[in-house]
Amino acid sequence: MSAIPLLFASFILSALLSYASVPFIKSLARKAKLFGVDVHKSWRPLVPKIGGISVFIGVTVSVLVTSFLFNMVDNRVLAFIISTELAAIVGLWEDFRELNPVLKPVLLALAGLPIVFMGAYYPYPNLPFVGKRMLTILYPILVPIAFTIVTNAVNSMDVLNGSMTFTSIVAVFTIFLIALTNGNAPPAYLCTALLGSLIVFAYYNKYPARLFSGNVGSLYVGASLTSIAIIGSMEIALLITILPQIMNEFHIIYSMKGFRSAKNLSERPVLVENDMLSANPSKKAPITLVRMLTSRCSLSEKEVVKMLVMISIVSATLALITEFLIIK
Amino acid sequence: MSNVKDKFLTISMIAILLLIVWGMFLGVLYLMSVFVIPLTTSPNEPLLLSVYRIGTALLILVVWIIGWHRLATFWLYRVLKKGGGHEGSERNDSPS
Repeated sequence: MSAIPLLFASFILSALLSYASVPFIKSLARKAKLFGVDVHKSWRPLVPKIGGISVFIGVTVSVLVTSFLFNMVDNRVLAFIISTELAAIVGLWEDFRELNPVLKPVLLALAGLPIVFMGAYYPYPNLPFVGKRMLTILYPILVPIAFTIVTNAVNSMDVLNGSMTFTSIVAVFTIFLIALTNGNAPPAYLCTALLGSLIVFAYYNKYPARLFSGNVGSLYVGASLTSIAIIGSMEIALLITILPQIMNEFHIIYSMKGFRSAKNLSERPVLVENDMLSANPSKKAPITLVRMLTSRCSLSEKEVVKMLVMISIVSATLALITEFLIIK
Repeated sequence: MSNVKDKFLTISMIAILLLIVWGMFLGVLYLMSVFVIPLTTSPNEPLLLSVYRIGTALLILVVWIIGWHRLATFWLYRVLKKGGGHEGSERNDSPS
């Protein structure tokens, strides 16, 4: 019960900070000319593309302030802040100048190293059917790999207005429920901080988007999810919650035969006509979740995002079933 | 009305695909925890055994990924062959 003020404070503070930082981010994007073209609309608006900085500011400051106020500062909280900041820097770098598609996963793996070096992990994951397994040697190797996979998976979902934000909200809420049920306060309050910022950001990112998250936002959210799951020993639940994102990521990598820039695609996965999306029938087009959703009929951007959220809710339910019925 | 039916069918099919991938993932975790991850780690474990464990784990993961990618590809092209998808404009989305 004593954790409730902490959860509430981190949620409110991160939401307020994110809301307050939006005008500053918009002017920063204008000055740096960081705009993205919203290609799914006939009027093709230019939208500031570093909106994810508001999530980064909201969560980082909120976590720092609340952890000091509630005496929660420890190596796990500090490792969370450093790892997620490194991922945000990689994202910001890519927003300014496109990174080499092979270098990016390497840099994202490096972002996971503070978690390893600061010992913010518990190398005895609880696996389905068999219980705890000792992974003292393998676990530190898996942490950077998990960072690369999850951050890229979340990043791969950032293709439509609100798609990354709303599906991430479902994932964070699932992880929060598990942490809360297990009485695990540090990951729970990191989740509420992330939820507060994401909900505010969703207001600006929903259709029609007034702010794009940019790589800085999607990589930051992915790194936050990974850090929280590792700190709170909820690795399996996280992987199942974000199965749609992971499937999307590997479909793209597999279809493109490795890490390649999306700009080098000969065929795009989805075609747009009169603001309606439909799957590209060409076999050369990469397979994506949006392409699968639009395979049967043309859909509006809003409808596709709603369906992505529904799929995320299905995978969140599977994660909860796994965590409470199969692992326990 | 047909749009609602199409949306429902698409969501149902992807949910079923997700269920299959989830089931496969649990199977993969079980196989890995039984055959790959040791119950106790001996400090004197031969190097070859460690290499075998990591190699087998990677192989199981790759088989899992290829398995659901093939399944999704088969499903997608079956739907598209039946008349889904539309030839349209040059504008498009970006996969990353």
